[in-house]
Amino acid sequence: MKKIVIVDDDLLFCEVAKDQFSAEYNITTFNNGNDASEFIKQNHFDLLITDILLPGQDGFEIIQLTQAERGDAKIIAISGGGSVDSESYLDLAKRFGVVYTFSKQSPITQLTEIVKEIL
Amino acid sequence: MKNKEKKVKKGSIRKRIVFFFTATALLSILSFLPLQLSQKSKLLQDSNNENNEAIRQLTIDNCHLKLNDVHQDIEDAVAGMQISEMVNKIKNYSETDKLVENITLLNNDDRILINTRDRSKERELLIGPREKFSSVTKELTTFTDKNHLRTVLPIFDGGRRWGTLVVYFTLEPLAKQQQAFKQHLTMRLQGIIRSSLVTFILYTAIAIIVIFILSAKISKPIEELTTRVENFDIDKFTPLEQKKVGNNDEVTVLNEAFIKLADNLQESYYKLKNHNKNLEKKVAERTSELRKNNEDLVVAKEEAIQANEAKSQFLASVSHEVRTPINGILGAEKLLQSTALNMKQKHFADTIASSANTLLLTINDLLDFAKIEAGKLTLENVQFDLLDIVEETLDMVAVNAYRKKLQLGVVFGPNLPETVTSDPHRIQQVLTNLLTNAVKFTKNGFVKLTVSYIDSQVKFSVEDSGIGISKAQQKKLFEPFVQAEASTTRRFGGTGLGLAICQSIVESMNGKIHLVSEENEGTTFSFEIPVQKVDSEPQLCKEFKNEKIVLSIYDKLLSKSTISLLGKLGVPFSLMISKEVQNSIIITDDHNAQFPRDNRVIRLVLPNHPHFKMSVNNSPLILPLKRSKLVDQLKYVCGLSENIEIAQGNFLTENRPDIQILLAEDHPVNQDVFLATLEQLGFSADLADNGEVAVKRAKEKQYDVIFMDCEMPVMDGYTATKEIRKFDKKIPIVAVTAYNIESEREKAFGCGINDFVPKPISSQEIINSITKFTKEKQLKHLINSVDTHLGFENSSKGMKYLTIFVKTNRQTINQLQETEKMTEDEINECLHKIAGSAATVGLTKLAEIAGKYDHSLCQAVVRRFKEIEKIVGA
Repeated sequence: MKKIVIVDDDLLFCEVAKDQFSAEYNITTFNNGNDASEFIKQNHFDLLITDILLPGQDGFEIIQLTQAERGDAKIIAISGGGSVDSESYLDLAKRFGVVYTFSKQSPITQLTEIVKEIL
Repeated sequence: MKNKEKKVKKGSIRKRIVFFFTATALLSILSFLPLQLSQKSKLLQDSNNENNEAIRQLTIDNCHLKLNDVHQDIEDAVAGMQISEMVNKIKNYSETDKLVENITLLNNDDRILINTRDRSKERELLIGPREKFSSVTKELTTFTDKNHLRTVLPIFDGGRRWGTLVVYFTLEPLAKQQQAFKQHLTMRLQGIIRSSLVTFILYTAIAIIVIFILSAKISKPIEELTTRVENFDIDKFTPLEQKKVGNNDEVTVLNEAFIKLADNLQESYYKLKNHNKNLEKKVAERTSELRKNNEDLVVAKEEAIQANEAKSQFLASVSHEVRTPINGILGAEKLLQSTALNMKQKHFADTIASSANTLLLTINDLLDFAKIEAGKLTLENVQFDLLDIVEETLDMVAVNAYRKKLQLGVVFGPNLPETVTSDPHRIQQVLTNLLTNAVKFTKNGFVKLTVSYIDSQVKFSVEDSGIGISKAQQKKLFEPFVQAEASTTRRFGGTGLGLAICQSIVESMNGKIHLVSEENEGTTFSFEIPVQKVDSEPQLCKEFKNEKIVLSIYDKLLSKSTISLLGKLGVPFSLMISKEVQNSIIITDDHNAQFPRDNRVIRLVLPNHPHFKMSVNNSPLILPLKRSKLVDQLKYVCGLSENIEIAQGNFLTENRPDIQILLAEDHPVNQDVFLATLEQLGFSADLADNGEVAVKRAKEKQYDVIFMDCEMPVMDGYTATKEIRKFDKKIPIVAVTAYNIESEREKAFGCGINDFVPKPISSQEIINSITKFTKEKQLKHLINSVDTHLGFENSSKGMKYLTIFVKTNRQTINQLQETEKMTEDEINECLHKIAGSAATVGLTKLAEIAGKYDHSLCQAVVRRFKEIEKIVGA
């Protein structure tokens, strides 16, 4: 069973994502950047789904850490509700080398499809 | 420094005398002496020269004599043929006589026979251009230079020419002698000059000594006088010593004058001193008096301050003390009104209410007036949106105007700036006062506000079609406590302070207030105040460029107002009516005009107009028309906004289940307002004109909630409720009533009413009521929509997510309720969180509104969340 790490301070999103993916994947969720980075340093996983704005270390730091520590792990950057800033955050994430992005404005079923495609 | 100056001055007269006399003596001697000396020396030299010349002439004569001697001797020798003797004689001559330089004897052929000493002369005679001495027939004397002369003389031997004698004489020794004498003379002259100089110095010294002595004699009395003047101490009480100075000359007179002056001065001084003493005494007396007065004044001032404070305190406490019982009276009056009253009693109760309200206004006016009288009226100077302030003010009087069915409208001038700097609250106060008066004194017709901009001043004109004011009363009108007629107070209430306050405010803002009125024709109050124009981007509305809208307006004022508002919004419009309507907004007041089908038509109708009911296809129009209302209407009719209030950010209507509502209401205006409000909230309703119809409808259809007006013709709300309860015990019935009091409630509950909505209705009260009675239906609908959104159809996981959504965001929502305490970033962060969560569960409208980061939409977000919170019940 492939492992997915989800980092988002929005408990609701974590819960929804867990329900979405737990049947097919092994899911670990974190609500802040610091706990997530501890886990990333010590554990192997296949996919990271992370929000950009996070308490503690932000999404960009988590992405960089994953790229350094877990070179083979795939990354999906997600961003929250705001129509104004979410696009620009995701654009920035792409500059960090993130291939897949997802805006929460879109239905979560789209995320499910992206995950299926990647793993 | 001063002492030094004095000393310089002291010696100055003497110095000047000494200097002057010395200079004069020296000058005269110096100019006389050289003249004398030069004259004498010239005389001496002249006489010397004369002597020299005489001696020279004598010497020359002597030379001639000698020549004659020589000549004679030679002729004698020639005649006697004694040549050798002749030679000796010649030699003897030339050697013995210093005057003779050379003697040459020549024969007739000019050949030298004898030449004595000088070979050069011989050579000259031999080699030089040969002079024909032989041709000289008589004595010829020539000067070869100044001191040498040559004499040529023919020698005859008994009448026959024998030869020529040439003798050179020299005056050299004589010249030497004369030179020596001249030198001697010069030396003697120098001796004379030296002795003269010595004499001169001697004389000068004597002269200076004499001058010194003389000057001392002249200056001494002056100096003495000066010392006396200097040492004169006016403060000494001893009179000046009668000492004589000078030798009965001018100084003596001066001294006497000085003594007299000093005496006078001393006398005056003593007088002055005495006077000063008196003065000082008087000043001291006055000072103590003044001090005492000052102390009294301080006490008086403190007393005055205390009195003033007491006055303010008194005013404040009086106003408070008066307001409290008035509120009591008003409360009691409302209670009284709710009891069973006969017509007479009701009339008395109404009188109590209106009197109490009048009293309340009076107290407020008095407080304001007291503030102005005390000069405590402070003015702000801030930037504000003029149009907003005007529209806000109109809103305040809108209800009263609406009740009286008056036409209320505003017309903005074309060049009116939107943003200005002035005091918005004072402007609003004056405007409110004038507008309230206009509405109060106008029975029917219109109240029109015109705002224009002329010469850096904003002019506000409030025109009404009211009772008017007579010329005589106009003059007194701005005085405090004056109303147009004593009877008006009775008829309309008010203190008569309002206009005095308005005038004071306007004048303190450097403005002027005017009044034009004709009795029974109407009144126009206007005031203009200087404002600072602030350049700002006009808030233009670009959405309606390509819309085909017809604004059908049934009133002149309304159409004018609409035109000015469209102008302010930058919406293109035309007033022409043509059969082919172009792509723009058309304004018409012809309600019979036919428009092509594809045109959207907005009918703006006044509530008291016969066509009013026709306007229900849009939302009801409550005057005055404002920019925002107009835009909302246009957007609504163009389908640019889902409903009117979304644009204002009040309520979100997404995820509404199909809720069946019945509204029982007889009054058409109330019907319109209620239906429009429901529509804004995302609901629709069936209508019943009275209780009987309501009962019939309730029988026919299963409603989720019934809103029941209590007072209706045919069958009132309570009776209708009782009737419905006969066949339906469950259906929630909400009473719409103006009397929200306990006894009324008890009566209503007794009839089977479930809840109350107070009049006038508010969206919040209605949504609360609907939510309360349709919770289950709405929750089911919400869960379903969340499940569908997440792809968990029929799993009922939605409930779990909604619970998490409410729980995790409750804190954030609480923060958003106090946005004034937050920074812009904090607000944005909260909105971001809500937007993210809402999007996740598929509350897309909420996510979209929150994600706009528009702070004016915060309350809409909060309201929708609270609604969901109530439905979810978490």
